[in-house]
Amino acid sequence: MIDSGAVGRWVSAPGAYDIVTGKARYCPDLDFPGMLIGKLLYSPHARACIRRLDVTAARMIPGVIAVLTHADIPGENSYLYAEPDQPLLVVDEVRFQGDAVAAVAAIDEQTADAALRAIDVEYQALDGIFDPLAAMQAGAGQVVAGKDNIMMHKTYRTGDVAAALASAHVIVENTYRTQWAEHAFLETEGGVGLVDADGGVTVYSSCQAPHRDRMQIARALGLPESRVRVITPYIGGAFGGKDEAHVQIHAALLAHAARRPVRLIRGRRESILTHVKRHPFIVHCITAATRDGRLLAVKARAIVDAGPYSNATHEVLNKFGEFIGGPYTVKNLEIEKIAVRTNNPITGAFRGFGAPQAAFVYESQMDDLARKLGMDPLEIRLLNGVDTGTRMYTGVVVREGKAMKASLRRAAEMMGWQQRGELGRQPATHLRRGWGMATILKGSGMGRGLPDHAAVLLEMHRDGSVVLQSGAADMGQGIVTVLAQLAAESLGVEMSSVHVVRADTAQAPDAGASCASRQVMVSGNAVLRAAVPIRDSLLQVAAEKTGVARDRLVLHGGRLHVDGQAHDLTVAELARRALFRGYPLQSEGRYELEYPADAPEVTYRYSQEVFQFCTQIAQVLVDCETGQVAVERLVAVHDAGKMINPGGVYGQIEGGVAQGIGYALTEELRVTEGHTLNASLENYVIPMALDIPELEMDVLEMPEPLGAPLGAKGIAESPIIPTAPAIRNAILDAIGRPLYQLPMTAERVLSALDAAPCADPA
Amino acid sequence: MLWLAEPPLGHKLNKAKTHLWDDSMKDIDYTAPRTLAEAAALLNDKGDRARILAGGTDIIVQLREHRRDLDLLVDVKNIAEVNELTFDPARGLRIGAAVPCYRIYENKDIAKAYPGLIDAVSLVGGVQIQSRASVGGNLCNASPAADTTPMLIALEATCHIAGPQGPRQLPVETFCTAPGRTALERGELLVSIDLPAPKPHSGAHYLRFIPRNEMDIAVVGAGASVVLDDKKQKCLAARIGVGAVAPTPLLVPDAGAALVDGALSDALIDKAVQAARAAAKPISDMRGTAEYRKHLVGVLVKRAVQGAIHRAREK
Ligand SMILES: Cc1cc2nc3c(=O)[nH]c(=O)nc-3n(C[C@H](O)[C@H](O)[C@H](O)COP(=O)(O)OP(=O)(O)OC[C@H]3O[C@@H](n4cnc5c(N)ncnc54)[C@H](O)[C@@H]3O)c2cc1C
Repeated sequence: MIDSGAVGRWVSAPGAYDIVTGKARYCPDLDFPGMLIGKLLYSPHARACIRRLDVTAARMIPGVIAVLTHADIPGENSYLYAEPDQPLLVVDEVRFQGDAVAAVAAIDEQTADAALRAIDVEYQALDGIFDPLAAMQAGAGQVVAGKDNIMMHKTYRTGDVAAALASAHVIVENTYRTQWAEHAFLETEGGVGLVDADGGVTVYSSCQAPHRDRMQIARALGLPESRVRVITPYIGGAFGGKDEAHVQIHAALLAHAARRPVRLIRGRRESILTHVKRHPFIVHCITAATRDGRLLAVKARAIVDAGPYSNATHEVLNKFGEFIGGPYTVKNLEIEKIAVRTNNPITGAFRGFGAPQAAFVYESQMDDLARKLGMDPLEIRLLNGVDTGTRMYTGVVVREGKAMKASLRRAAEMMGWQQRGELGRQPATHLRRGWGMATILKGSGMGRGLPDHAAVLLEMHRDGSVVLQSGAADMGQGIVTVLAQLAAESLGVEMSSVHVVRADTAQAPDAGASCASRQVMVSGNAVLRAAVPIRDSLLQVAAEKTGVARDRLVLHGGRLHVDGQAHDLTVAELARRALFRGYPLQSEGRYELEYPADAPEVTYRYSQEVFQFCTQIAQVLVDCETGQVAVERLVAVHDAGKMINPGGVYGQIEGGVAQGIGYALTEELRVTEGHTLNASLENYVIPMALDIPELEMDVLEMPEPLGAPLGAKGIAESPIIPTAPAIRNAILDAIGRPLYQLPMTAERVLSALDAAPCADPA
Repeated sequence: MLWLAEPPLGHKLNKAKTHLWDDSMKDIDYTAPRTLAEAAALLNDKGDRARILAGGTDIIVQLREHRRDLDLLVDVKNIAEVNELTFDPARGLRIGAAVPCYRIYENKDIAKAYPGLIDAVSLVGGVQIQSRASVGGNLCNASPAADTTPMLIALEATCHIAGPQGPRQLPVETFCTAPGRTALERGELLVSIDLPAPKPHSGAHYLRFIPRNEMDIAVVGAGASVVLDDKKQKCLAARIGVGAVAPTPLLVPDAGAALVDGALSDALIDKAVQAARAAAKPISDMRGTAEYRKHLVGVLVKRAVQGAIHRAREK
């Protein structure tokens, strides 16, 4: 490849114009002749036994075309991609507020509502199990009959924790609590199901994993996967909340039953009440260090409330445990992970998969430790930080880890860490200013031992234009942009010549889910591989035509270059000639994430081995009379390996930090007895523009040596991870009081202050 | 229904009869009369099956969420009297009930004369909301957390009401009677809100507490207005209004009285604070516990009074 064409440039996303002008069509915009409106019926109880379910009256209503109960599902009535234990439509027992009881399709919204109202359900309300700690006790009763309430209980140990604790000079021991958090994507979940002439089903799906949706839809319909096609239209955000299939399965079932198109879109309240939330954790953590601040041991026990069904609970706890030691050298570590079933909301994937909860714990512990030792928070982190070649507590050896310390140093420099007191710690009697940092690592990819591959189809036409088929869902994060850049760069054409078809399972091979910050690596590499034979054909023709040796020829910007000089021959001309000669201009590229074979034994299961490092530093102002925290400045320094699309990288950082500020300060689902009280964006308080300071960002580029396209690794998850602990540590610095619970609402900060009202600045 | 969001403070909850989670709105009649008499007749005819539509930023939301069930919306925006916005330095300010917030803060004379009112109207929602939302709607919606009402109370506003029995007037602090309920009788509507002309050496200030920096419902709100003596060392008159700490926005006469009881000092302000805390009868909800609200009302009253005094002294 020669000097940068499309890669590394601030490019505009294909489709950006359509998106901002409202032309882009999302699931709710889709319309087909004869299309019906689908809706689901939910139980008013968090837990209930269904005594009678009678849909006769609903079926009689004119305009109601289909009414489905569990008995009408042709295939399997349980879904979830990993462990299908959630019913599509409840059989006899409702286990949480979002369990659907029946599905209807009618000619319009009001008729569908009428059908729901006409369904006769007799519930017998049952006592729910809502406290995860109580649910763990013997005799608590079972949330799911025949299944232990403890869904998962695993412990991982390395080194000798007991001996390390005994020899420690300082120990900090705390209990942390985190909350249920909502993805609050702009577009709620939705799907449009269509029945094909041959009895197959096509589903437009607002999702992160079209091929996996296809599997689940086929399973529910009892059809072979070959008869199901999933297409992604534009998608308005996901953040892990659309990693699982949702109403797209119900839309398919209804369309299949009605033999007409059915659009099923969740309303906002419905969305909040039904889809997975970020797992709430209770973590007890002991961190031990030597007198000079070297970490000796970490011992933690985490209990999560999973709700009744598994969703991504295993994955989230796996990642939590993988990262609970932080980006530090810890030789002795013990992590006990327990997931408990309750009748509370279901929980699952959400940007970071347990890593944000882990970071809140380990980065808070680091500051408590630093305070106890009288050390500077920067110093203790630099002292313990991992580097290239460090063997971590998981057994993984960090291949490229310079960004850990580099991001700390750069962030400290940007914030003016050493001079931080000079701005005034007490700008008014009731105000206290403080600074806090957090530095984290997050892996990219599914983890060693899990399937982690993608394929793409690439084709150049006789006019030099290129079409790329990828199964990677673009939910707004911009994978389509990155793939177009990589294709353009490797075929030597302008980015505008590349058309990426939005993921369609009938056209594109499987790319796996758009999750775990993985698509740039796996699908990105697949594009680079797919380009090779096409480029070979073009260069072969060029060599034949010009008589110049191939190694002196390069394609760039739509033109042949000979010894770096632009030549008359365009890529389009070469394509035309290549086709004439019968040289292939289409190819499949496939890539599977690589793990070095010669690595030392990795002891933590499903460990990731490509790391995004980053540091954020927050400057906060605390109002000691109200407890309110304002984030005045926020510095974010992230390692992206190599930026393919800088706009996308900075965009991910901005969005992640904004979401992190909400997670830190205001966002919390209030759930009582299994019922979410604030199921609206009026009462679930996400941050607004005025709550986000102008972010000060920098991106380090420390190329990943193995398996990353041009060294690029993912960036989508890491930005949300350090924000909450950085703010927590800044509050600690400002008021001298530690907080151990998220979100750090004004009321919680005030009660932390109550013990020592407005301590004088340190 | 249990699983319906707890209504935000003061929004009257018309318990939904269905357990559907949709946001669809049932069909409803709409009419836009040109005179007060016509509007009053329609309201009289339909009773509580009809309500007025001003900016619609409360009523449409409530209808969509099935918090209210109506047959008819009476749009008053074609009626001259409710669109009136006039300021006369001698006679005061008249705010037609349907005048949206932006018209108030964009009027330079009004902005200069009533900075406390401007604090309140520029806090309602964001720019989009302010271009529709009216002070009259804010008052008639009768949320205990309404932002403009405590300030209107502190500024001694009077409500002008039209109805089948003819016009009448009420002091604003008696207008709201319970969450979502007002003193309006069947067939009556609010026509305008009148504020007296600002007195020499007077100042006013409104502030609220919300968990973020914009677009939220007040956890507590406090408005203060003061009139100082010529030397600006003593308070001659003061009124304090507070929101979200009782079923209706409250006038706290004791807090005002405390401030006219000697030379202005922190101790004097603290007496007003104590009076406000004593008057507050908050509840606990998702936005804050009763104890926290009681604490906050003290903090906000102190800051509102300080702000009002500061403005009076600056003049
Ligand atoms: C996004 C958003 C943010 C908001 N933020 C705030 C905020 O920060 N602070 C705040 O206080 N409120 C806020 N609100 C609520 C609302 O905007 C205000 O209460 C607004 O002032 C209502 O005015 P309106 O003209 O839209 O009233 P409408 O919705 O038209 O009417 C409100 C109620 O008053 C009745 N009514 C209106 N006019 C009359 C009349 N002349 N006579 C008798 N009855 C009448 C109506 O029938 C209705 O019941 C917000 C609303 C939204 C949607």
